[in-house]
Amino acid sequence: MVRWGELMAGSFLLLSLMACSPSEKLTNTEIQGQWLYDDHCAECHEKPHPELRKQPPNLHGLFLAKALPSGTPATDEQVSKTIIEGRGTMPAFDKRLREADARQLVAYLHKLK
Amino acid sequence: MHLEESRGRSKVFGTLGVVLFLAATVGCASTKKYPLQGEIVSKNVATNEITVKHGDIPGFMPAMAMPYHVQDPAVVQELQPGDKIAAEGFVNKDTKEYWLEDVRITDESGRSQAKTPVAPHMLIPGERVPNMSFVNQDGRTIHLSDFAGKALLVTFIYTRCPMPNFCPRLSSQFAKIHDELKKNPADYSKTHLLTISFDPKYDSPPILRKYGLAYLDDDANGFSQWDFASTNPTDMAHIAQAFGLQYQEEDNQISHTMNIVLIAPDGTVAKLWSTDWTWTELMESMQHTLHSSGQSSEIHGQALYGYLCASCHEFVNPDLRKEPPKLHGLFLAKNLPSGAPATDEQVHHTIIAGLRTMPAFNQLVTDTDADDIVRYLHRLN
Repeated sequence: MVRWGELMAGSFLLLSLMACSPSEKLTNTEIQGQWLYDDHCAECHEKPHPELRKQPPNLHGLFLAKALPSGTPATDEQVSKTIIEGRGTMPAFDKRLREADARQLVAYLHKLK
Repeated sequence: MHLEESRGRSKVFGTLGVVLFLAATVGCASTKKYPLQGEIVSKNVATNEITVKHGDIPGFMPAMAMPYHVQDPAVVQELQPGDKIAAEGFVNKDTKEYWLEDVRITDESGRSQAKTPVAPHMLIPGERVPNMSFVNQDGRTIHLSDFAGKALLVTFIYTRCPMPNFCPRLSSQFAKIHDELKKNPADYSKTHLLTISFDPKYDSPPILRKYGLAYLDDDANGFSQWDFASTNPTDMAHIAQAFGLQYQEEDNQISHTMNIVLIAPDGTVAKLWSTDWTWTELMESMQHTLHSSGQSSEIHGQALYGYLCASCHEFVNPDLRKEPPKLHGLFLAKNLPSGAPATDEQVHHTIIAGLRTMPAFNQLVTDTDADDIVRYLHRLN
């Protein structure tokens, strides 16, 4: 039992370390974007919210598809616009984020897979 | 909040498979700790929650008033609104759940001045709601008196709210209630939902319309039973006081409490909720207050009397040239206070056209409304 526990702890530590040092290094802009993502987006987009009318879509691999969940083309401009103006039940972030913030977020979203 | 999950971390890490999954999907799995300082707004002993108003805590929570789960029930017992506290805020980065530990009172001198939820100016169940007016999503002025005779469920939001457990939850759950009520046309026509924004500067009628349509699946017909409205900041402050709502703009977002009020068909407060409710409970309360109300035209008249007549006819206002007469037992005398015969027609006419210093109400009430008020006045003895 003890050995199994140690093995588990060891595996977890190793995996955590691996996860903490991503193979792909992020640029400063992308790191800024990651901070913004954690602060402003993750709360809705990383976790199921069964009480919400529409489930906020997961944003991993957003730019890998041709179209955004809304059906519009997956372009930087469209994503920036959605962040700033909101869309459907997603609130507008125009009072909280500036265009430059939206650019950093978009840069990070390209890396979020 | 389902704190059981977040506290049971050892359970989550019980199998290697889960560990692999976590490490692969979320990176550094951990619970993070943040020092928090703030003031107690309210507490809920039943759920072990305290609502704390605090400044921005980077990485944890923006500045706002927010309910938190506290692990030790004894702490919740001891805390009082107005207390300044220090605590450790915890957030589980995986489940996004948060809670407080090690809550200490740093200053309890604010206790007596603190606004408790039962402050004298706040309406309590059974109390008559004063009439209030708003501008809705179509730019049209609406009054609470427009919903006299209906079960009216009111809540408060701002459209930019990014906290999924606050305004988006409120509007989503109201949408669910709207869907359900719509299935029963008899109830649907006797109920109304009212979502009030406390951010009138930003939430103009077009913004409210867009917001409402998102929750009505783009069906504008739904606005007939669900209004999205706001009013000027001064009136909003009074309305907030009446319903125990607290809100404060800070750094381009608004800290606020969650409040839901059910106004009965007779225009009195039926029930108030803050954090602890489900949409089924709200809807059942609406149906209950609707079905337990008496004959509908008289109840309608009673609500209109409360909204439109009581503020002058039931209270002494020494600043007025002529004191408005009491209307209790109006039809028991042969003559009205004016000397005219005490007939339904005469009273109806006075309501619609006014009499001397009493204003005409023809803009606020229809002939049917006036008939219903007369019907209620017969009962008011």
